[in-house]
This record gives sequence, C-alpha cells and structure tokens, in this order.
Amino acid sequence: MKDSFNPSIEPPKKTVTLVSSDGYDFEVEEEVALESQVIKDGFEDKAVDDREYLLFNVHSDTLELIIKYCEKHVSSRKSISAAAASSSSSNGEEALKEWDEHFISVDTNTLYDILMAADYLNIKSLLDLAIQKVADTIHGRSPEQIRKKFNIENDSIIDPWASE
Amino acid sequence: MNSLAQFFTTHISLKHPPVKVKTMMTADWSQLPQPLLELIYRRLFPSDHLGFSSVCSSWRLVAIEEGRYLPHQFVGLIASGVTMDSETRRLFEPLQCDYKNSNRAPLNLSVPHRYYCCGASFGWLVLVDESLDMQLLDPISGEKIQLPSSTTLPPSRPSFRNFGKYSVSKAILSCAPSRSTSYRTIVLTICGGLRLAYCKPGDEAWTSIEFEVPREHVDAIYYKGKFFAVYNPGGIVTIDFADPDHPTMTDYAPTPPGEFFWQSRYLVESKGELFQLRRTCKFDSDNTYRSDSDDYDYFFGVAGGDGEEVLGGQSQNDDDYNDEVDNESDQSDESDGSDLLESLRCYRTVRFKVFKFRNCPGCNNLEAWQKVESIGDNAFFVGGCNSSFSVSVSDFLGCKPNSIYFTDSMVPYDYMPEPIRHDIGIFSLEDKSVKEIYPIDSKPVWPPSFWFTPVPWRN
Repeated sequence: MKDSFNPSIEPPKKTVTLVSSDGYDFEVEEEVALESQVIKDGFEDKAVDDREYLLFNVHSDTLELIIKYCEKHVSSRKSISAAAASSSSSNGEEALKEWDEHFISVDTNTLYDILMAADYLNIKSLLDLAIQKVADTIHGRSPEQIRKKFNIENDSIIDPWASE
Repeated sequence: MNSLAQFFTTHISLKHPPVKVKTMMTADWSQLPQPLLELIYRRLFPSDHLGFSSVCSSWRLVAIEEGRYLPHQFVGLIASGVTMDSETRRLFEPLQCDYKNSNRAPLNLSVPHRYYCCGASFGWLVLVDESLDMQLLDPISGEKIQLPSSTTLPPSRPSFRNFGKYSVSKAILSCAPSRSTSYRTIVLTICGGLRLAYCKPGDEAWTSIEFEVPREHVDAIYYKGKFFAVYNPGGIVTIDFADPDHPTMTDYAPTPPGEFFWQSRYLVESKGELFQLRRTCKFDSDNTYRSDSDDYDYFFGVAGGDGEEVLGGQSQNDDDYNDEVDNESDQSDESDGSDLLESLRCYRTVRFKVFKFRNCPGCNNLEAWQKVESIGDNAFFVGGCNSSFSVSVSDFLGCKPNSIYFTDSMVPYDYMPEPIRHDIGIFSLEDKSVKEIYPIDSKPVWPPSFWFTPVPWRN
C-alpha cells in the first residue's frame, strides 16, 4: 500500500522504529534514520506503517550512541546551512568536528561496536570517524602495545630465538 | 516483517556474508572484517604499517595484501637494546629521524646483542654468532636462512688463520631472498677488507674471489646486475655473476682525483647513478674542528660550500690540505701522550665528500669522477653495517633533502676496544653541518646501530 502520499494520514513528525538486537525499540525521526545509507536505499518503496527496522547486529547500547550521532549531524547540518543562507559567520563545522572528536573518544570495546554498526548501517561519516580513531590509536605504538590496547592475542608471529 | 528482515539480511550479506546475531560480547579486533581492516591500514602513517603487520595473523594478511599497492616507505634505525647483553634491539621511528626528542616507543626486535650484524639489505640482516655460524634473518617475521659458517671464509691475510666473530666487515645481498628466488640471491662479503667471498644460500662454504693486486675493499653495492666494490683510496671494481660459479672481477673506475687516504667510503646508487662518498672522522675529543663553520673554510682558504663543482685543480689541493690538517691534529693528539686506542674509541664524523661517477668509457680519473655539492631531493643512508642506499625525500616523509644519514662507521675487530660514544647523525650538504640525531653518550654503545628498510609485506 503506497499511501504515503496521502497527507491526511501523515503524522506531524515522520518517524521510523529501529529495533536493536536485544529487542529494544527506538523511535527516531525519519531524517535521522536516513543517515544510514542502508535504510535510505529502498526507503521510499516501503509503506509508512511498515517502517520498522530490525537491526540484528546492533546492540541497544550501541544503537543509542548511533542515534545520538545521527541526530547531532542532522541538526548541525541544518544550523550550518541556515547560517550560510543568512551569510552570518558560523563556526558550526568546527564545533561539529570537536563534538565528533569527543563522541569517538571511547574505550576500544565501544569503538569496535560503533565501527561495526557504522559499517552495517553504512553511515559513511561515522565509519570514517571510527576508522580514523583506530588508525590514531595504532599510531606510534609497538605491536605489543597495539595488542594490549585492543586486547588481541598474538596468534602467529614466530618470535625469533623464542626458544632461547 | 518477514520480508523486511529478509531484505535486511540479504542486503547486509552482500557486505559480510556470515552475519552472526550479536549479543553483548567483547570486541574481537583480530576478527574485524577484512574490508574494515583494509580501510584502517590505508589510514595509517607509513611508519605504522610495520607495527600493524606484526599484531596478529589476520592483520598481517591485510598488511601483505595492501602492501602490494603501497610504495616501500620505511627507513628505521636499529640501535642496541637497553642493557649490555640485551636479547632485543630497538627499531626507532623512521620518519621524524630525531631520536633525541622522540616520544615514540621503539619496536623491540628479537636480535640479541651477542649476534654480530655485518649486513642489512632489503629487510634482511646478515648475522654471525659466537660459534661463528652465519645466517640471514628477517627480524620482522623471524624467518631465517642458514649461511655457510664464517670459518669457511678466506682468511683476511695469508698468514692469518684464526677466525673471529668479526671476520666479515660487511655483507651485501644481491636481492631479497624469497622462497621462489632464493637460488638467485648472492651474498658478497668483505673479509677484513683484503678479501672478498660470496655464497648462495644452500652453499656449504664461502667461495673466495681471487684477485692479484692487494686491495682494501671498504664497501660494495649491487647495482645494474653486478656487485660494485670500492677499495681505498677510491677505485671501483665490478664483480659479475653472469656465470654464477665463476664470477669475474673487472676494474671499473679509477680513484677520484685528489684521493689518497684510507678512510671510510661508501657506494650509493641514486636514481640509476653511482656515487662515492668519503667520510672524514675525527678521532679525539678535540672540539676545535668545526666542520659547519664558514670560518674554518675561510681560514684555510677553501672556497667550498657555494655549489662549486670543480674537478681537480685548485680545489683538489685544498681538499688535500684539509686532510693534512686533520692528520696533523690527530698526530698532535698522540704526541700529547693521549692513548691512541682511547682516541680511536671516540670518533665523530665531521664531513662527507661526494663524487658522482660519469659513465664515460675510457676517460681518465679527472673525467670519471665529479665532485658534487648537492644530491638534490635525495637522502643517502650509510653506515658500517648496512648496505648503503638512497631515498627520494618525496617518498620518505620527514627525511631531509640533500643530506647524508650516517651511523657508526667503526668496523669492529676482535681485539679492538669498543667505542665509547655513538656517531649517528645527519650531514647536510647544504651547509656542511653535522646534526646529531641520537644521544651520543647513551649506553650501551655496542653493538653498533645501522639503517634498516624492512619489507613487512614480502610474499
């Protein structure tokens, strides 16, 4: 049923329900959900009352963060373009960058979850942010320090003269 | 809902086929999907590629795969470990090349101090151990290739029959050994300067290369399919392995004009051209020699440092004069009663002289070599233990152009006292200055440091 074009039954705020892997419902504004390319692709083909997405791979803790990120980016974009339209000076880009930096300053377990979720939902800017954070975390560290930081076991590298 | 779920799983499955239902579990970074690891790898600084590749097998696979598409961009300094008999040595941050002020933690490589490293080429080290066995080692992967024992090397002098750990003053590889091409790798060794020998991995003994005129070889490189060796005071021979079992040695270039002295020399290939470097060291604690000073040149009437490219003639005499001055001050130190051995133990590099070879068949020594004052956007890396090489600074971010990066030059001898300070720095051809890049008094001084170009993604 493609009834989304009928204004009489359109809700005042269009929302989408996201369901986390552990069964929690998150109701978010449509434009926030559309930050995800995966949701965006084929979104128009779906009935309005059927706009519920089961996110098998995203735990509620992570989903909460993802939504927070998308909401922030949607609202920042609006205020940045508004500032540009009124040609008033704005440090919106700068502020958003700072916000991103703060947002991604998390422990490596959370970073992993965000990275996986950003990839799964195909949110490009968030994926970029998480990838850069991993690269920054690796920078300047020895393999042993990297393993410790990311809790990785060395499974293969032969240690020369290890027997001595 | 079923159709939606269907849509979602099929959509996602295009990216990472096995989608596991995730409950809250600890992140397993070693199992990060390969496409994500690739994205991370591409975002790293070149200096981090090596560390990344050594973390675990899945990360290493990504580094090998991705490494094919990246230029070889890594020069490191392998310095001693922190104790006298350390089991590891430190591989320092290559890019900033400022080890004095670096906060970056070095990589620890399992290359114990008791192994004497006499060569470093293509990411492989040539090592001699206490029992005089020799091997090639890739210190990143730990892969080893046995070489013939150093007891099968020709003695450096006919009357000299006992072998020590330091019989080989330098070893040079023709190419990186790998499983598919190892039979082609040739290892050339300079034995105490006066003898040359070679082997191929798998040989049982070293084979001596015979030549009639006694010559003291000081460095060699593999270049255009042949080995080129420089002997004091600056002549070049080629050793051609066209017939792998019967190498032929041919005189290639005469001594550059004005070169008389027995000094450290290096051959460097840079963008297809051959360069010879002569390194002048000062063997004392005298601080009056200031190589970076215009006053010095002025005082001795040398018109250096202004881009001159003079062959022979006046500048030749001036250079000789400089050398005589160096020698005189050395002698005066001895006559002052200071212990000769002690003064040998603390030396420092004061300058380099660079000659470019002009490939003109049949030309005399004045024409064959051109003294150059600039090597442009290149940086040369030389030292007592590694094969000399040149990099383009545009490929190696952080390297200074028109500079020579040097490490300790002293070739060890079995009965030679160890040096008491480091001699690691950058010589700028631009202003003839020497900049230390490693704390000269940091202990231990032994074993000597050398430049290393690891290839973490070798097949």
